[in-house]
Amino acid sequence: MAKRDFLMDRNPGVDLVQQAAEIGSSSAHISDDLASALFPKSDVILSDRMLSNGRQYLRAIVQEIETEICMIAAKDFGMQQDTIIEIGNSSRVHSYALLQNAGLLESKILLDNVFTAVQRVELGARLLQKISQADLESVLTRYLDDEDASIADAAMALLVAQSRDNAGPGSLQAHIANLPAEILFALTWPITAALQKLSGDEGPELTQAAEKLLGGHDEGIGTQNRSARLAQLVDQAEGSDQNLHPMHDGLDLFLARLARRSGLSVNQLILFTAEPHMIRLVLTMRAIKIPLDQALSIFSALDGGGQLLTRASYNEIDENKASELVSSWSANPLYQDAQRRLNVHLSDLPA
Amino acid sequence: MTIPGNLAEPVRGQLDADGRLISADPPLLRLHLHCGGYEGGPLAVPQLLSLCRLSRQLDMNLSRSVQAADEENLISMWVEIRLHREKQDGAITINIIDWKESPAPSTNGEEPGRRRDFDRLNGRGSIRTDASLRIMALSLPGDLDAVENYIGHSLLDVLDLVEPSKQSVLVESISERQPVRGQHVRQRHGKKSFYTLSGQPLIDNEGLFSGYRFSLELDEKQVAEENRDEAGMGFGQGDLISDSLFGSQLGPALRQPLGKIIANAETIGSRLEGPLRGDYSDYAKDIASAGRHLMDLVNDLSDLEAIQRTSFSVAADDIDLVDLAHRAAGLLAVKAADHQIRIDLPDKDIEMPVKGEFRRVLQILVNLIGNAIRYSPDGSVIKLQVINDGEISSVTVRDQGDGIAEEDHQRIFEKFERLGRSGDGGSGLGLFISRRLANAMDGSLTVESAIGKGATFKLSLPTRAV
Repeated sequence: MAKRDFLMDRNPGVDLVQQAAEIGSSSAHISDDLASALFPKSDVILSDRMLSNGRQYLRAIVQEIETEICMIAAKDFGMQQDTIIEIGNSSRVHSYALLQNAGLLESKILLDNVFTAVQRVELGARLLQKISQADLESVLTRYLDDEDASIADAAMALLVAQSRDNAGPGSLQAHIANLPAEILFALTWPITAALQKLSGDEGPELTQAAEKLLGGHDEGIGTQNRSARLAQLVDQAEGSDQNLHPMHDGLDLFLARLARRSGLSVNQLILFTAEPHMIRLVLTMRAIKIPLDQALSIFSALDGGGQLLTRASYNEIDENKASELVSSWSANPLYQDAQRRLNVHLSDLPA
Repeated sequence: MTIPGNLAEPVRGQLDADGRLISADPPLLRLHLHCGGYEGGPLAVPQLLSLCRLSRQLDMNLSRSVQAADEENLISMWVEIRLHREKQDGAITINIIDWKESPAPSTNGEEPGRRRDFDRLNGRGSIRTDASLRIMALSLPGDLDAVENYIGHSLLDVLDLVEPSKQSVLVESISERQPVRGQHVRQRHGKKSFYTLSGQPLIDNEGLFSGYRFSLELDEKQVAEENRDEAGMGFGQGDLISDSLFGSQLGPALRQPLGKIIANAETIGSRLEGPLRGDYSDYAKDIASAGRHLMDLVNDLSDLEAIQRTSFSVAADDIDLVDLAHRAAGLLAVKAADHQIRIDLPDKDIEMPVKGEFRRVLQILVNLIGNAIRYSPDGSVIKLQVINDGEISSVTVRDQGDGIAEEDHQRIFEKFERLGRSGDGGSGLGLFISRRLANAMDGSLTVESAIGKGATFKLSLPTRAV
C-alpha cells in the first residue's frame, strides 16, 4: 500500500532504472511478507478489517503528530520552510512511507498499541450489537450523582474525554491525547527525524517543536487514563462487585475495573478477548471470583464469534489454579517474554 | 475504613533536580518516612520514584494510578507528575489526587504478627526475605546479634545447608516459588546453631511474588549430636536413653512423624486434594485432632522435663503484661470464636511493665486462656484484667465456667491432675508447668474459685521499674 503511494507520487520524469532498483530491493522481502501471512506465530486471527483498521490508525496517529510538530515549529519557533508549512496545513500523511521503509514503525511496543486500538474497536462493535450507542453513552451519567465527590468528578472527566474524542465504542480513537506517554515518545522522535529529512532542514526548530509537543502532552486526559482513574475510585466503593459488566459500565470502564481487580493490564485483557474462545478472559473472571451468571453474561456481551461459555465449563475451572495462572500473567512483561523464548528454545532441543 | 481524598486539595510534593523531596504535604511526607526516607532526603516511595524517573527520562508529564502500602494500609492514588520546564531547574511537582487509604488485606488471612507470636510461643525463629532472598526481618530465639548482622544479607550467605539437605534442592524450590519444608541448615557465623528451615512464598496484593517467610526450628537432634561430638563424651554405650529424654531424643523423634500425621490428616479432612465422602473426611479430622493432642502432650512432657532439671533457668526480658495478654488472646481468637466466647481484654493504652521471659509468660497465658475456653459454656465471657500492687504486677483470667471446689485449689496444680475429667484434650500438665514457670520467674500463679461461680487465675510477676 505504502509502496504504491510512493510510486504514484513519483514524478514520471524520474529515471526508470532507479525505480526498478528500488522495486527490486523491496521485492527481496516478499518471502517475509508471505511467511507472516502463511505462518502466523500467534493464535489470534487478524481479519482484513482489523489489518485495515490498524493501518488506518497508524497513519492517522503519524499524521496527527507530524502536523502538530510542523504547526508548533511554524507558529512558536518561526519556521517558514515551505514543506513544513505545507505539512502543517495538510490533511494527508507525509512521513509514513519514509518511516515504514526504514522499519521505524515496527517496534513491538508500537505494534502492540496498534493491535490494542483495533481490537478495542472490534470489542466496541461487538458490544453495539447487544446494546444501543445511546444506552452505552448514558451508563456513565449514573456516576455523576455519586455521593463520593471524587467519583462524580472522575466520571465527569471521563465523559468529557469521550465526548471530545467523539469516538464512542466501535470507532477508532486515533487521537494523540489518548496515547500513553511512552508511545507518543516512541513515535515523535522518528517522525521528527523524518520531517527533517523531508524538509531538508537541519535547524533546531523541529526538535524544539517535538520537545514542546511532548512537554505539553497530558496523558491524564486520555479516555483510557480517565477510565483507569474512575475504575480505581469505583472499585474502592462498597458494594461495587455487583455491577462489573461492559453493558453496565461501558467498555473502557469495564476493562479498567477488570484490570484493577485482576492485577493485569487493560492491554492484556484486550488481547485475551482476541484469543480463541477468550479462554484467558474466562480464567481471569474465575480467578477474581466473578459469579457464574455474571461471567456468562460478560462472555456473551464481548463474544463476536457465536461461541458459548457453558455453566459446566466455568464451574469446572479450579479457582486456585486460575488465580495462579492470572498472577503469572501479571509478572513483568519482559520477564514473561524471556521465559517464553527460553522455553521455545528448550523445546527445540533433542530429547 | 476508607479515608476519602479531598477533591479541592490534592496532596502535593516537590522534588529538586537531584530527586530530593524538598517539600511535601503531611500524608506524602508520612509515607516517605515510613518507606525509609528522611526529611529533605531522596524520595523513598518506590512507586512514585519510578514514575518520576520515567517522567524525567521521557521528559514528559505523566498521570497514572499508583498503589502503595503504608504499614497496615493500602494507599490508592492518582498521581500527576509535572516537570518544571520554564524554570530550567529540573524540579518536579507531584500532585496526588484521590488519595485513598484502606486497610490492606492480609496475604493469607492470618496477621503476620500473630504468626510471629505462634513461632515465638513454640521457640521458633522467623525470617522474612524479599524477592531476591535478602533478609528483611528476622527473629532468632536466643541470638540477638543475628538481627543486626544478618539484615540485608542473602539467606544463602548466612545459612549453610547440612546433610542430608542439599543447596540445589532448596534453590530449586525457591526458584519455582514452592514451599520449602524441613531443610537442615546451620548458621555460618555467630552461634553456628542448627535449625530446621521451612518457608512459604509470599504473594502480595497485586498477585506478585514478594519473597519468602521462613520459620526456623532449633534442630535439637543435630545440636545433641554436635555436643556429643565436640565434648567427646556423650552417653555411655549401654545407655538406651539419656538423662534428657524428651529434650534431645524422644521429643524430636515424636514431633516429626506426628507433624506429618497431623498435616496429612488435615489435608485429607479439608478435602484439599479432591472430593471425599463426608464421613471419611470427618475421620481424618478426628485423626488430626488426636495427633494435635499427642503433640501437645509431647510438648508438655518436654517442658516438664526442662523445668525439673536443676539447670533450668528463664530469661528476664523487659515485657508488658497488657501486651502479652493481647497477644495470647490473639492466638486463641479462632478457638474462642468457635465457641462464641468473647475475651475481654485490658485497654491497650495501659502499661504494666514486668520482668519475665517473653515466651514463657506467653505460654502461661495461652494455657490459662485455653483452659478458660475449654471449661466455659459457649457464648460466655472471659475477662482479663491487670493489677499493679507496687512491686508485684498481676494479670487475672476470669471465666464463667463451673468453678473449682476449694479443696481442689492445690490439686489442680499437681502433675497429671485432671480432677476426674477426660477426653477434653488436656494433659493435666499445663497448670503444673505454668506454676513452675511462674515461680522460676520470681512470680506466682494462684487460683480463686468456688463451685458454680467460675474461676479466676492470677499470674503475678515482679514489676519492672520504667
